[in-house]
Amino acid sequence: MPDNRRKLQAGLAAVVAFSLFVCMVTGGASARAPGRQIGGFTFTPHVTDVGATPIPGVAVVPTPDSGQYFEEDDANRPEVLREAGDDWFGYGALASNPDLYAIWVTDETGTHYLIVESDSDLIWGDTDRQGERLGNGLDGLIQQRSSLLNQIAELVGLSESRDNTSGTLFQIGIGGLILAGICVAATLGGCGVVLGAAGAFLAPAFVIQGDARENDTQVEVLATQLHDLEQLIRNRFAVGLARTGTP
Amino acid sequence: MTKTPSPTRRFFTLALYLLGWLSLGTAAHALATSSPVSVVLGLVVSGVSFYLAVTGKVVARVREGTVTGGRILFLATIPVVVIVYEARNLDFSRVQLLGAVYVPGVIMLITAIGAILLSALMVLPLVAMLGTNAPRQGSS
Repeated sequence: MPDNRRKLQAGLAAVVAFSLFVCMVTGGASARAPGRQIGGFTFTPHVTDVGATPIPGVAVVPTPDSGQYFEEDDANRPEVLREAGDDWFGYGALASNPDLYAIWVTDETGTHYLIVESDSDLIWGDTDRQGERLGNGLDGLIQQRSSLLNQIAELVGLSESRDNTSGTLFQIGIGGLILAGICVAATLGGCGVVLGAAGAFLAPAFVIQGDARENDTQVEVLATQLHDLEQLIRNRFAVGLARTGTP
Repeated sequence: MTKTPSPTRRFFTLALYLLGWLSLGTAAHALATSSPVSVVLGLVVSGVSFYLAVTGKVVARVREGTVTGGRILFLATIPVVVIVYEARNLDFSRVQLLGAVYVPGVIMLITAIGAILLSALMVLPLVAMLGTNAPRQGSS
């Protein structure tokens, strides 16, 4: 009977261990699905002068012209040399004609592409009466977005690092606390030393955890700003559609 | 018939499972965030904790009837500290980051929920200890 009990306990421990790792592995698969990925820094928020970065799905390219609009799954979508942004928001010259640029934005329905002239106000901003740019172009907005993404990635990385440190200190501290408890219950000597050592690990664990949660709050604020900024970029794209008369 | 373990031993067995769970969670989080040192440390502590919990080797050293009054209060700090710590990690919004599943956040949430549940379970043997190990009034 005691053997059965121990086997049961061992089985429970194995299930617990296994379930946590399965969760992690399956979660990892979800996170690798298409979409932005901050953890692990796999995304490239701002790419300039990368040379040829073809957008897949091009076989036969009809002559593109300013004002043309494409969806991401359109086989006729021209090849683009990305100059700024990433797969979700950006712009770049057409490989077939550097005088034409593609701008693209992503929403819940997918990524949309619009062909514009290389000197388009949509990209570089509207001009005032003196001919000065107003700074409301996609260029500036996409740079701001890239900067925000970089800040978020930096904060998330810091938070992850702090969580690792805090978690490690905490597990050692709790281990010490349990050991001190066993020490007390087993009426062994020197329990105070064990307790002190546990406290020495637990205190910084809480402090560092607090810093990590503070980082999370900052990430939430930046994520909200990013959301608003992406909406501005979509609005700018919508202006372009309206100007070209594309529905 | 197997002898039911005393509340004190049940408490420490649960505490070791709790430590094993916390360490496993730390290891998983470290693995998801590419921190090899924390992965190794977490797995070692987790393995040792589960081994000790299953075999009962350390818990067997606990003497019956020695945990009374203030000592029970001291033991109670273990689940309390864990609950306070993990409650600060219990943030459901961290499951997603910028619209994508955020694996380290998911792991942290699962770890926190499991740790809080295990800590709550540790209250039962503590209460039982109060009943069985309390010093008897008027005994000579």
